[in-house]
Amino acid sequence: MRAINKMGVFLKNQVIVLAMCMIFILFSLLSSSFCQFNNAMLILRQVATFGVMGCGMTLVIIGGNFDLSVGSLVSLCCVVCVGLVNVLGPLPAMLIVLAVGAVSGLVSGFLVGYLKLNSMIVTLGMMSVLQALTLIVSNGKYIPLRRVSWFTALGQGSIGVLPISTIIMVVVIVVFATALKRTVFGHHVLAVGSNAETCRYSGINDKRVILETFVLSGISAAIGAILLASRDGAAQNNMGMGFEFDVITGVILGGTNLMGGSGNVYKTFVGMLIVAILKNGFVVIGLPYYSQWIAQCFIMIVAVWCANRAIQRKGEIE
Amino acid sequence: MSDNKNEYVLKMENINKTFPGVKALSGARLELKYGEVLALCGENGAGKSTLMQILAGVFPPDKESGEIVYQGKPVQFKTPNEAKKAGIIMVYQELSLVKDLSVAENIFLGSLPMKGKHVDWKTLNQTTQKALDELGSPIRAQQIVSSMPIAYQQMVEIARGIALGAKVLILDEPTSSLTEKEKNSLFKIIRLLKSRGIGIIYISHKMDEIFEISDRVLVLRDGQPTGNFVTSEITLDDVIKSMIGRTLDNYYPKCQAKAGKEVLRVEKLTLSGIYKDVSFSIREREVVGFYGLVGAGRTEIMETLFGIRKPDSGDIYINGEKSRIASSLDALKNNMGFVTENRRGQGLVVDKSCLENVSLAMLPWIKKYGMVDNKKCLELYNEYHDKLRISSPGPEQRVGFLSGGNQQKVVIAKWLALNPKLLILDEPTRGIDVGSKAEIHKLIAQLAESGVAVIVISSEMPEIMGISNRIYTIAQGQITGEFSGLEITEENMMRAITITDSRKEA
Ligand SMILES: Nc1ncnc2c1ncn2[C@@H]1O[C@H](COP(=O)(O)OP(=O)(O)OP(=O)(O)O)[C@@H](O)[C@H]1O
Ligand SMILES: [Mg+2]
Repeated sequence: MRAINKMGVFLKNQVIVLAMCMIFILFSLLSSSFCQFNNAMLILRQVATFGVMGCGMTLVIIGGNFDLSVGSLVSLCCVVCVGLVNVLGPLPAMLIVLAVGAVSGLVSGFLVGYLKLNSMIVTLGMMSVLQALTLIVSNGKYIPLRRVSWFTALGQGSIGVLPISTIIMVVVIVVFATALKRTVFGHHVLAVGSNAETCRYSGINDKRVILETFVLSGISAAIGAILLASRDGAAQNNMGMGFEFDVITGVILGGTNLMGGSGNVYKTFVGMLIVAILKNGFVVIGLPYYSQWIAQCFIMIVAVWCANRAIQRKGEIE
Repeated sequence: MSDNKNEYVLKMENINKTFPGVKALSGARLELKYGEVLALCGENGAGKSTLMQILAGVFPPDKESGEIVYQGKPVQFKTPNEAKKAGIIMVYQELSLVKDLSVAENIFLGSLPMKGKHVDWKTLNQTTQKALDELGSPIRAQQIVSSMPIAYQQMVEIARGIALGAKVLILDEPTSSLTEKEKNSLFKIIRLLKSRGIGIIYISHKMDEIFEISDRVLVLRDGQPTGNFVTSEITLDDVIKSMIGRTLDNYYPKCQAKAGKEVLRVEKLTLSGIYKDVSFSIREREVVGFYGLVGAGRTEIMETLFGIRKPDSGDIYINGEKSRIASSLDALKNNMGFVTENRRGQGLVVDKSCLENVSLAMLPWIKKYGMVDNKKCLELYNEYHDKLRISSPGPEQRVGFLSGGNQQKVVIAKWLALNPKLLILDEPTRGIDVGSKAEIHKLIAQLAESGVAVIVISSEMPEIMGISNRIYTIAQGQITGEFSGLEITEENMMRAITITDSRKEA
């Protein structure tokens, strides 16, 4: 009896993984070219950027906020990255890109954490600012990678069958997941997201915790941008357009509480995989490109609906 | 409907309730007559709130339970709304008004009077005002709830019940945040409702209130009924014995040690509009009480000491050195602890586990390479779980699922685990049963004897007189008196808290 109960709890916790498997099987049945090795590798390469970005976004949402600026930040970082790799070489370029991400997060984090401004509004504003900066930096031009270096290997190379970008993503995910689950910082994020007031009375600097989540979101967007720029071997003004939507969808699918206070980085990754599989699947079965957007919005709504139901059920028990 | 005085409005028989890991009720029973006040007593976690929540349709009893007979008919309410419509009104331990709406809107929430397609505001406000006036309350129907003190909010909840035609009114620890005066007006309302034939179930840990207001006393222990008395025929000891299985001898042990060197001194602390020229000091091995009416500024002064508020002027000296405390982190670094008054708002993270709550403030001090030291956390949790006798199925239980009193114990555990040198306790025994209350008093005395300086705020005169070595009285944001030893008398203190601006000590 107990075993069955435990099994039930386990299944309930892993429902998102089951959902992913079902979607995978569904597409495999619909199209014979979906379940191919090459296509699977393609999905993995596509998901790398989102998988990394989801880590930061998970922290931000657990803290009770949203970061809508990550898409534009990716555009800016890509442009800066490719531009600087051409001039300075890969390593300095990448460090500067990480700094750009951190500074952008610092600005939003300060406005949201310390000045208590609404995160939606703040990051929506940041989104425009970053777009403008991208255009200024790039002069509106397409920037190809001019120098051949190990930089391209990050997004295009692989070790054995495993793409290097996948390996980087896994490392980032493990680091973030450990940070959230095991470190003092992670516990503080979870606690501040549930009740910032109590934290303020318990020796926790709630403002700073919020700021840090935004900085980490900025850095994870920068890492995502590096992988993307390397994969594409070029940068464009609108490279990250709409990414925030994909990333937030994935985080919600992964079961992170929209009101803050709970969430799991590994499950966010599964959520990202679902988004990536769906997008890829739509193309493979031949849906017109723009109809994907509608489909994705639909997925987002279903995810939010499920999340709401879960919250309501919790409320009933209390 | 015959509202005959000797008829039962409500009978509950053999009620069982099991939560995951907890048997909250086993074979509980309850009978209530029209126009009767039934006091419901029991330790923290005895199942009082659970029994009432079953009655009010919040959750169902276990399958193998007996019947609930209400007004002669067996019932089982599936939702709180159903119970409400039938006339069973519950005023919860934690109030449940919609803060941004007006009093009238709150009272008729879900059944607003309509005129065609629009809300009939005039009828709404008039009916509400009538209901409030009948209770003799000064509240206006159009007032916004969030602007009112808790006592008024409670009155609104009661008025809501009456407007809905209550036959049974359940009050779950209604006086835990009321002043003496507010309590008296609540009791007046209870007597009025009683004379109208409404049956009232009154849950409280305050024994004097129970003896003052109730006709009968029902005692629960570990979810079982252990006593059913007529109030006029019993003594306090009878109730306590059936609650905890033994009698208590010393409710108020005092710290007997000799006070040591000064730990904290405050000079001329001022925050305009809230408190003014507050100066006091406290030494090692000393329990200092702050007594005053709710709203006198006691909590705000302590919040300033703890870095939550910034004073306009004045100095704080810790161990003789002038210190700046700009945040609670600074306070923690100075070995201070603060058990706050509002446990759900500022004391707990209710949707996290007991373990996480107990270790919340401590994490930075016991980390290993930035990682949380889970083993150490668990050790500390277990230590205080035993010391404070927290009744919880395990460290992983969500704090929100604990009974009110046990939630309070978790807050206290959080601060004790930090081994503070100066501990501030703001209404530490609110919602705590008599047995544990005595334990906490003993603990306070022990802490002080072991060298801690303890500040206690309480609105309960016997408590503050019983445990403090020294007492400051506060009125309207100013210290109006300081008493120690034989000066601590009820008379002196009452006089001091009613002193107003013109006449205060130099
Ligand atoms: N929703 C819940 N889920 C799990 N356990 C619960 C839940 N509600 C109550 N309990 C448990 O049931 C027991 C009885 O709780 P209840 O709230 O009825 O106590 P109480 O008598 O009202 O105590 P107090 O005086 O502290 O308010 C406690 O052990 C509590 O932990
Ligand atoms: Mg209770």
